[in-house]
Amino acid sequence: MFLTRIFQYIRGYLVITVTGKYPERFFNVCAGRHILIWDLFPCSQTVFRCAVSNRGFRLLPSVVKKTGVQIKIVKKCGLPVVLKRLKKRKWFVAGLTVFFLLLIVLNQFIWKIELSGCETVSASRVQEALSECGLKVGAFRPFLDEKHLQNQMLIKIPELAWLWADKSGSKVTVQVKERVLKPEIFDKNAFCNIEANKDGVIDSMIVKSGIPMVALGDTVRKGDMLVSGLILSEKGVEPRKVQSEAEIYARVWYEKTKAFSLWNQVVNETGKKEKKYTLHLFGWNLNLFLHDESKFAEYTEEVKEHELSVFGRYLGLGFTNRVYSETVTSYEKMSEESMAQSGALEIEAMFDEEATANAKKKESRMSYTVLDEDTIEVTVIAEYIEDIAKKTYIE
Amino acid sequence: MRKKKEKNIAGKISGFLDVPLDIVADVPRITINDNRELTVENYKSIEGYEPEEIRLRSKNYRIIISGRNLQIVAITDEEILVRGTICGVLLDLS
Repeated sequence: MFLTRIFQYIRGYLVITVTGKYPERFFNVCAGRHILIWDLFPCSQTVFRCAVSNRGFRLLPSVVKKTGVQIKIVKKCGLPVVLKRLKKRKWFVAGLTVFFLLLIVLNQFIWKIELSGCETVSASRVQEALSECGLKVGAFRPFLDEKHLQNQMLIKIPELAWLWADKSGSKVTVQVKERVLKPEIFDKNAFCNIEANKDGVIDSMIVKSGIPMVALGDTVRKGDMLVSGLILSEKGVEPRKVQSEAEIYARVWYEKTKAFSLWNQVVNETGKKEKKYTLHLFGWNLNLFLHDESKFAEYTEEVKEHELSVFGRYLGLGFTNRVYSETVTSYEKMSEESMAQSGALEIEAMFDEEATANAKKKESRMSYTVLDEDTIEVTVIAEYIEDIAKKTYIE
Repeated sequence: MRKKKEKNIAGKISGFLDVPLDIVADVPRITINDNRELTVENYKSIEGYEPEEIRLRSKNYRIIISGRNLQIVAITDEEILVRGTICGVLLDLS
C-alpha cells in the first residue's frame, strides 16, 4: 500500500468530492472499469470524498454521466503539482540547487578528525604525523589512501602497532593501537645471581639453578644475594658460572601513615543551568556566546556534540552544546571511625600499586590517632607475599 | 437448486484436492487484522457506505461490516480494504 502511495504521489492525483443520490453506484462502476480510487470517506449521506489518479480522472466523465453524480475537484496533489509550483519560483530552485551542489562539493573534504586509542604516545604527536601524511582538516577526501596512510604512520611512529582510518562522509575516525613493549629477555648465555628487590622474610623458594644463599625464615634486605650463580668446587676445580633461575617468595610489609581531614566535601547542584552553543561549519568553529567563562563561580560542565549526518555520513556541519550546572560545595563532618576506614582503603590502594602484579595480600592492620578535633592520622601496615627475585649479571 | 449443486461440487473438489475454496469457487474471502483492518476479496459491489456500517454484496449473500470511523482505503474490482474500528462482520443470507 505504501509503495502504491509513493507511486501515485509521483504520478500525481486529485482529491474529489462525489455528490449524488447513490454515490455507491459511482464507486462500483469505477471499480468495474479499473479506475483506482482510494481514501474513500463519506462526508454526508450524499457526499463522498476520495482520491483518484490523474489517469483515472480522465476516464470519469462517462462514469459521471452513467451514474448521475456530480464531481468536484477539492485539491490537486503529487509531484507534478509541486514541480509546477516550483517552476514559478525559479530563484528558490536555483538557491536550492546551489545549496545541494555546495554541500556535495564541501562534503568531498575532511572537516573532522577523531583520534582514539592514544595511551602513552601523545595525541598531538599522532595528529602531527597524520597531517604530515596528508590527513588534516581541509584535505581532499578522494585523495586519501587509507592503506598508504596506515603504512606511513606505522613507519613514522614506531610505538604504534596498528592504525585504522575510517572515512564516513567528512569525518575520519583514526584508531590507534599502541605496541606492547617486549619484556626484558635475559641473554641465555649470560651468567647471573639473584638478588632481593625488597626487604622481607623468606616464605618459600623454588631454585631451578644456582646455589641458594638464604634459607626459609631468613630476613633479607633489598640488594642481598639470594641465589648465587657462581658454583665453587671443593676439589680444586675452577669455579663454574651459571645463570641462576629461581622464584623466591617473601613476606613483605608495607607501612604508611597519612593525615586525613574529618571534613568531607559534598558538592550539590543548585538547579541553575547555563547553555552555550558552538557551531561547526566545515572546519570552522563559530561561538554563539561572548564570554568563554561560565557566569557561575562553581560549576560542573557537560559537553554534548551533535553532528549532522545523512545515512551515517558526516556532512561537515554540527554544533556543540555546553551545559554548565551551578554547584555549591558544603562540608560535613564524618565520624573518626568512618574516616579512618575510608583513609585505610585509600592507603591500601597505594600499596596495591607499589606491590608487584602477582603479589597476594595476606593481612592488613589499621590504626588511627586523633591529631586535633578536625584531623586524624591513619596508619596501615599490610603484609604481602610476593616474588622478590631480581636477576643481576655477574661481572 | 442448481446454485446449491454447483457450490457442493466446488466444495467437494476443494476438499478433495486440498485447494482453498476461494480459488475453486467464486466465493468471498474475508481477512481481518486485529479489529482495525479488514479485506474482502471477490466481492461484487458496495450497497451502502456510512462511517458506522458498510454493506457489500457478494455472490450469495450480503456482508455487513459494522464499526466506528470506517474508511475504504482502497477499492478495486476484486478487493476492498477497510480501516477503522471494526466491531462486527455479519453475513446476511436473506
